[in-house]
Amino acid sequence: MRNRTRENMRGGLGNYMDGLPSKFAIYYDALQEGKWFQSLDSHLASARLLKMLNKGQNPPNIDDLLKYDRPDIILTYGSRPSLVLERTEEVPTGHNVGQRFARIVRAAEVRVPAVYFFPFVAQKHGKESQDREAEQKTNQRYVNARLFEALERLEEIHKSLVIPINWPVDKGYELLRTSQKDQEVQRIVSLVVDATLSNLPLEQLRANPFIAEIKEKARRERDQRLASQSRYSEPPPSVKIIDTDSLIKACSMHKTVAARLSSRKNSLVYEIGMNYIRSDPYTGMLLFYDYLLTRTGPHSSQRSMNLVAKMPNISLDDWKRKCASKSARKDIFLFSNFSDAILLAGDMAV
Amino acid sequence: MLLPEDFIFVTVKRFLICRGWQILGGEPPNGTSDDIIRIVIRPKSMKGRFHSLGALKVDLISKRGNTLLLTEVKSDYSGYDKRKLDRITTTRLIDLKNALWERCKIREDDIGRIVKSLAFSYGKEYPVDEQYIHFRVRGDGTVLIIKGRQISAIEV
Repeated sequence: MRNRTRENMRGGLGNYMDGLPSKFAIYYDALQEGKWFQSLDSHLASARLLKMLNKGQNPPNIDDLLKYDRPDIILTYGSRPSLVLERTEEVPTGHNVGQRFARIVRAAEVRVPAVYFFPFVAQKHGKESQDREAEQKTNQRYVNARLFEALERLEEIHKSLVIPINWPVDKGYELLRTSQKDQEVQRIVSLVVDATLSNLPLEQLRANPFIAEIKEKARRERDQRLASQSRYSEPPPSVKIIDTDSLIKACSMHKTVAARLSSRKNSLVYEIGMNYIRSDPYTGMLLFYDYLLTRTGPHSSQRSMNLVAKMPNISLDDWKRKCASKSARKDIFLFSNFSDAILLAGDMAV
Repeated sequence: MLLPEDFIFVTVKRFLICRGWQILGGEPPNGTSDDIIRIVIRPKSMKGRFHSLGALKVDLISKRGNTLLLTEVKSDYSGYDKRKLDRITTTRLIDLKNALWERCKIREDDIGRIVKSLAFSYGKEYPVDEQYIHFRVRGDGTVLIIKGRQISAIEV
């Protein structure tokens, strides 16, 4: 026997797809994030909320921003993208630091302002936290300072606008979850909306005093983190910078690959420990290291040293099989387009 | 028509709030949600780099009085989700209770009954297990509730 009850709820698909005509549209990855974004500015109240579809099924300007990865929010006015926003509750540390980086990179390349909303510090949860709690200690994690450096380099290289905003926490380092946390992001979104409506050039938006203040906060955080950790004086553990000639001698590679590498004295080798080819977090980390340590100009050929992705657990056969796959793979695309060479099992380079 | 998972999530969450349920946390589809804290049900022994091994998450965890409601959300009915909830409420019950204490400071004594539920698109009918609730969501935001025999007396 089953009991049935029918409940009428306000708002369905029709409700959020209709609304008053507006030139603003909010493309979202998750509906709850789209609705949150819509609540940030009154001009967006009548904006259309549209789900981001798979690449190739969206308007061309949206698909272009999804070229490397899928951000949480894209705001458009007419057909023109006005803002890309990425938000995460995770403190960017360890491999999380670059996991979402590719989403911001594409926005910067096409000079669409980007907001990256994340906690600069937050409590880490899990068994160890329980142990520390029992000792009445907190277990907070701080953002990796290198993220700020990479975002600054990204902005500088593409002459774009990338704004890291802190997701605030309470005294116990727990994330704030009320609208209080949105004060800064809300003001930035309103500035972008106003700039869009008044057709303000990106350079003028960048010069806005509030945006400058927010970016100064991020710089202060970066400096504090750099001062507090000696590890930042060394390259990250998964990265080695080696002489290119030694690399060429140590590996088996076609002469065209060797010729490509030999144009630069040094090579940055990023070791990727994956056992099967996948994107997260490695493709984001590859782009992160590119901007942090090698990139000198907007094109991927403009580097101070080679960028080499080393995948010692991936065989040449595996790699070729995945490359030949009919479906467009994000991982293959990014590894191939952002590396000067890929070093596979048995030191086979492609 | 199958509805997007995030639409079902938002609709069921709003429905539960309107009915007096307190949303404790969960795992929103494809991202974050302002009022949802992430509750990860970890095996007690896992620490350090392996702390995520064997970890389970429920999409929505809510509480009203001393009843705890676990809800898994998908576009369509999922037998995998049902088996997961069955595991969480049996072999992993202690881990669930630990997670609720760690993230929400809810004690074992505060939970009198645990109810399992699956939320999915209205359309094809699936048999409802006697210990389960089905939330069948329509595109207009309507929620049809189907209760299993053993929990028919529970007011949702």
